[in-house]
Parts: sequence; structure tokens; C-alpha cells
Amino acid sequence: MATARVHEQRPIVSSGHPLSLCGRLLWKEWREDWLPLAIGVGLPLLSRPLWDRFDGSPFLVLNFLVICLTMLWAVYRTQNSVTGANARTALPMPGVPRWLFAIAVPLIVPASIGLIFGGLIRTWPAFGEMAGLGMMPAFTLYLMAGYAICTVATSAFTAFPAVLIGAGWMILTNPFEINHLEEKSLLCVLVVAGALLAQAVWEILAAQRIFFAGRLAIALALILLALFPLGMAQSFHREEVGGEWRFTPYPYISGTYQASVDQFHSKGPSGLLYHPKPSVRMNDLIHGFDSFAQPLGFRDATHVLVGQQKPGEEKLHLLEWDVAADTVREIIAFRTGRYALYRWHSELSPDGRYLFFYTDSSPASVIRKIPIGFDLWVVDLNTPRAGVAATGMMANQAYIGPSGTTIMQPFQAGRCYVKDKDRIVEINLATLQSRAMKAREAKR
Amino acid sequence: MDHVIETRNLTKRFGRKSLAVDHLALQVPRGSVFAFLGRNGAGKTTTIRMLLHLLDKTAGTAQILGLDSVQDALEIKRRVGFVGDGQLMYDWMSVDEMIWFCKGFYQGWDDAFAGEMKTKLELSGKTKVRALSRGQQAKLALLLAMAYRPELLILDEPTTGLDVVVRRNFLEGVIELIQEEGRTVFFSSHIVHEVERVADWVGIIDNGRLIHCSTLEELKAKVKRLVLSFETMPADLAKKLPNTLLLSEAGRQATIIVNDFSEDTLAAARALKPSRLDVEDLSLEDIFVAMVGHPEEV
Repeated sequence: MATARVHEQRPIVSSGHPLSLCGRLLWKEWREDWLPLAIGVGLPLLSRPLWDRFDGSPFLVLNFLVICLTMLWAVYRTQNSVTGANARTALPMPGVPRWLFAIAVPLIVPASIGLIFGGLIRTWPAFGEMAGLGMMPAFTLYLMAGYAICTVATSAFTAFPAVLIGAGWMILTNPFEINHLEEKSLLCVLVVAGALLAQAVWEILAAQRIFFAGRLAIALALILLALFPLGMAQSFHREEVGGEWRFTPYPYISGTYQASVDQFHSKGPSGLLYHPKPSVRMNDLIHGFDSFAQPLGFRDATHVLVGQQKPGEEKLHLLEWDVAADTVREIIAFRTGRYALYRWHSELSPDGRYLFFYTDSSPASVIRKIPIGFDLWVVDLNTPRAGVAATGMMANQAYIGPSGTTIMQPFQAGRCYVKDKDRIVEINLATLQSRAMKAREAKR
Repeated sequence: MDHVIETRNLTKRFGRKSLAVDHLALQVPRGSVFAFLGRNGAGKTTTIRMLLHLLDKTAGTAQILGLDSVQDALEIKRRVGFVGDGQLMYDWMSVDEMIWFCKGFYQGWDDAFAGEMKTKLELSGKTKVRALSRGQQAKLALLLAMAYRPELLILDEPTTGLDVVVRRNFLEGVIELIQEEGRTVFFSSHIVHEVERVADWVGIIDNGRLIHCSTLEELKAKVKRLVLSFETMPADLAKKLPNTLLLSEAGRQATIIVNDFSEDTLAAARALKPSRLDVEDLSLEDIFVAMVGHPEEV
């Protein structure tokens, strides 16, 4: 019989049973992958509450940490694989399991991390409409692609060039577009330096036969250390977009008067950072400020009310620019939380005494809650004093923006009425306190 | 004669200038214990890696157990045991886990034999691979390479880094185990004096070229040391004796190692009219040094 003859020709062995082999390879994958999987999934989950508390800095650091973890894991796996597609092993790995376990199965780690991280991003209100439904698959595919690139690069060029290639690719294609920030050069240096440092330490520790968990812990700690300034840099310079150019956003127009911001950027002495050089323009007159400043209204024909908040600062400074004398004085500074001038709307009372300033709700005003909607700050410019008159206000219109919250019957008898999507609020201008009006009262 | 390894013009070039293996024509008889000798960097490991298709060859062909080294690489790996220098193993696995893991790759895995070897090699099943000494790791690699009873066992510098006692036991143990079943052992080494006790065939590679391949007895019969004493030392001794490998002179005595020793060599020596002529056998190490050592080094 044919079968018998075949056995006679090949009397020694054939390969193990495919299921038996795949079972063993799956076991090996689990034993190797559980730790990076736990770190990659656990870190975003554990750090999620900090994203709100620190206005996203942990998220930005974590973003790069997750990327570097994936990259290093790919390099390490490929370098140490006995059975991988590119490992020239003496073990007889048949074609299908070889490719399956070399390419497809290890992608479970970056895919899981990507899904969790992408999902968490969607729960973060700070991202607003940016974190659409595509964030989860985008981040998942991004990490999987990064893993694959590092795997191939390690096989082809060894670990060190693979880290360079992987870091370069990830910088250029990060879903959060870090290359578009003004810190581009610094970011590149930090990310590559962090990854290379970790890789070098990894290699040294491996040569010293330091155990895997120890190596991983030290390498991750180094990456975190190297990337912390990166996250901070991003965080503090979030408002400053662009390079050697100028833009004029949000002109404030009143009759024949127009106030606007001229934002210039220039390179710092290190050549790594771009520093903003803002100035406020009123018609043909210009005054320079040391940090981003935004005209909020005209108190009269020669006095412009300017808001200023330095990067990382919790307080918003209200300044008055006397255009005729070209002098600036601070009226008041009040704690709005960061990014008060990120999304905002302002209105001045006709007598120029009260400023109504809307900005995103922040943890500074909404304790123990995820901030939703807008805070309405009322500032008495004469006294001067400021207070949050209302929190969690929602826009009337379908679009998102504080200007969609309207002021009704303003400034009558020391009171002002504000309407948002759901309610009407009465504000006592003497006490800067508010109360929600009942429907019957509102009709009246 | 049936050969388990047969190469023709096997060549490996790294870059344009470095020729690691140069048109190698090697034949390893079935059932032999074949020692593949060479200095460090002579091309031993490169040859072995090409045989197992762990490295791509530049030119030539290689057949293992009658199978093409490239086309039938998978089948060759199923039928050949391999223990390499710095064998790759998952260091986080325990000895038992490593054995269990590798078992999945071979249908002919013999659990009883593996258990027997584990006891014989004094390996503890619970110990992690990374906690094993270098000698124990070599033993585990040997167990993994032999537990499926391969037709051919290839050992690439298996004793490098082991101490003298372990080295001796290891090599003798391997040969004993594998020879019991009449299988073939092909092993590379540069520690020549150990090889002499176990090998019956010897191949010597130098600068990528195979400079000798025969049985150990043939090699020893072929290379001899002549000790000649003279009243007056004649000039140009090396030129007067054919196939001189090495010549050293001390006072009125000359020691000459010659290749292809025969009656003609003896006649040529006698023609020099020495007052005394002795023909001595050489150890394999002496032969090896004479064949591949540079005169200034020797």
C-alpha cells in the first residue's frame, strides 16, 4: 500500500501534531505576553482619573509610553525569538504555525493596548469632538502597524536601527500629530533619545543576565523619565501652534474699532523650541505681551480689556490696555483652571463695569465631577472681584461654543438673566450669585 | 560509501572581500564520529549553519541525509539533532517546560529516553533555564537534540566554555549515547586533544578551505615526525625533504614534520646521511598545529 511505502521511506519522524504544536506555542505566547499586556492595558486604565485632574499631561506622557512599550516589546520579541519567522532556528517550524505565531498572534498585545487606550480616549471630554468613533480602530491599527514595523526592522537590521526606524515612524504618524506641534525638534530628540536609552540599558542588562522583569521595569522607568519633560512640553505649549509665522484669530469688533491678536513665533536660543511673541492690535496701534493675550472687549474708546493666561497657569489675568497712553495694568486675576482662553466667549455690560466670561468648565470649579459645559464667570471690574455665577451651562445652539449661551434682559435693576439650553438663570450683580429660575417665573 | 553529509563547492561570502567558506567539498560517512576541526574563524560554524539552512549559502550545494539543505530544510531539521554554541533557548522556561515545549515539534519524541537522559545528565526539571550553568545548558540542549532519536547529530563547538572535567564527560557521554544506535555524529571543535579520544574521522578546515579529510588512522599514518641528528647540519633541509610541514633545528638535531609520509620520504631522509634517524607518531593536536599553524606562531 502507498501509505506503508511512505513510512518505509521515512522511518524516523515526521513533525508533531499541528494542534499539539499550536497549543504549545499558544502557551508560550501567553507566558511571554501577559506582563507587557498587563502593563499596556493597566497603565491607561489606572491613570485615567489623572487625565482630568492634571488637564491631560498624564495622557500625553502615557501616549508616548504606550508607543515606546509597543516598540521595545516588538524589538525584544524578535531578538529573542527561537521560533519566529525570522529566527533561524533548528526547530522544525512548519509554514502555517510559523507565520501565524510569528506575525498574527503577537499582534494581540498591541491590538489590545490600542483598543483599551483608544476607548479611554473617547471617554475623555477634553478631546471633545476630536475623539470620534474612529479613535479606537485608528489607535489599534496604529500600534499594530508600529509593532509590525519594529519586528521587520529588527529582523532585517538588528535592534538598534529598528528602534530608530520605529521611533521615526511613530513620530511621523502619531494619531495626535505631535509633529505638527511647535516642539517638533524637541519631541523628536526626546522620543528617540528615550527609546534609544531604554534600548541601550536593556542590552546592557541583558548582557548582565538581569532577569526579564527587572529589565522591563528599568527600561520603562527610563522611558518614563525621558518622556516626562516631553509631556510637560506638549502640555505647556498647547496653545502655541505653528512656526515662524503669524496669525490673527478672534478679532473683536465694535463699531469702527477692531482689536485682534497678532501671534508671532520665534526660535529660542536652543533652536529646539519656538517661543510665542504675541501682541494685541487695536486698529493701527500695537502692544506686545510676553505671553498669549486675547482682547475680550472695549471698556471705552481707548481702553481694551485683555485676557492673558500663561501656559500651565491656572489663573486668568484681566488686563486693561490704555491705547492712548500705551500702558497696561492688571485689573484682577482669578482661578479658572488651565486653557481658559481655549474655548471662550465674553460680553461686557454697556457701562463697561461687568464682564461676563464663559469658558470650559474645569475641575477647578466642578469638584469630583467630569467637567461638562461652560462656566460663567462674572467680573466686577470696578471693585474688582470675580466669581463663578453658573457652572455646567450648555449652548442653546446645536454647535458647541459658549457664545451659544445667551444673555437675556441684561443688567436691569442689578440683575441679569442668562439662558442656556435647559434653564434660565438669574444673576445678582451685587453678590455675583445666581439662582435657577422656575418656569413660571421665567415666563413672567 | 554512504554519506550523510555531502557538499559540493559550498561557498559563503560575507560582503565582497570576506570568503568564509571556500568551495568546500565535504563527505561524512554514515555511522561515523566525524570531527570537523579548524582554528577560530576557520569557517566551521558557517559551514554547519549552511548545512542546516540557518545561513544562506553563496554558492554550491549541500545534501544532508540525501536531502537538499535549502529545499528540504524543514525535513532535515526534523531528522537532524543540533547543538550549537550559544544554543537559543527560552530562558524563562523551566527544564521540564522546555522539554515539553520542544516535544511538540517532533512526532518521534521518546519520553522514556528523554527522562533517562535527564537523570543521566543530572538535570533538575524545576530549574529555570536561566539558572542553569553553561554546562547544564549544554546538557539540556543535548537532551533536546537527542530525545527524538535523530539519524544525525550535529554539534557545533558543544564544549566551549565548559571546564575540563565536564568537557570530557560531555563529549564521551554524547558519543556513547549516539553510537549505541549506530547513528552519525558530526561535531566541530578547536579543542583538538579531546577529539582524538572520540573521533574516527577527521576533517580539517583552514581559511574556509578543507585541507584534509580522512579517517583518524589514515591521518596519523600520513603525518610523521622525523628526528635527524647530524655531525654537521646540512643547509636548506626543508627543501631537501618533500612535503615538509614544519622544521625546527636545535644544535645538531633537526625535527621535521612531514605530510604524506612514505618510503620515499624515508629514503630522502636517509640520503641526508644523518648520524641518527627516528620516525615518531604524532598526536592529533601536533598534526593539527603542523597543518594549520603559521610557522612564526608554532
